[in-house]
Amino acid sequence: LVMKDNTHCLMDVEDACKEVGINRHIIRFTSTVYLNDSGPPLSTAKKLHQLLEEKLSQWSVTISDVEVSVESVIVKVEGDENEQKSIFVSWTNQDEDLGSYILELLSSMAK
Amino acid sequence: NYEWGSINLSELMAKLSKEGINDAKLDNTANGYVIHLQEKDALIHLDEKNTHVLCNSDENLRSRLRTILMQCLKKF
Repeated sequence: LVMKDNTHCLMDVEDACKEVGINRHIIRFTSTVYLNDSGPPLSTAKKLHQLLEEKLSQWSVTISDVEVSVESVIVKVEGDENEQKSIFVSWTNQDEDLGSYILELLSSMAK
Repeated sequence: NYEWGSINLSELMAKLSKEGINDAKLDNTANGYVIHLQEKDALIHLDEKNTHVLCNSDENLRSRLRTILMQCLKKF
């Protein structure tokens, strides 16, 4: 919500920053979880997609190749056909609650 | 809340030290800087408009770094 010349209007955050003349600074976090899951990374990604769809039913959870996304949170699977996969969980500070919840969820699976 | 502005490197290094992180190694990159926290094996990539914190699943460290970084930036 931006106020200008005594009127209000809704802008997206990037436009609002330009309007006011400030530079937005984005903080992003990427943490790594190691999960034992045999099969190719794609199959692990599909399982994670299913899990997140179930746990986050009010959000739109999408999958593209080995990446599962919800808002700014990206969950990327890497690894070969052997047991251990590296799961990179990445999010911007604006999605701290969602990102840290997903990281905690995946970390608890890894234990 | 959204962060804005850029991070003052001296301020950040001082805050890391105050938090007991004394092995932070600063290097230049093509667009900015990278700070390597050697013992924890974590990285902080910084440029004018972006900061990226990479760590293993050390949530305690990540949370502390988040607090420090937010203190180094303005908010709206």
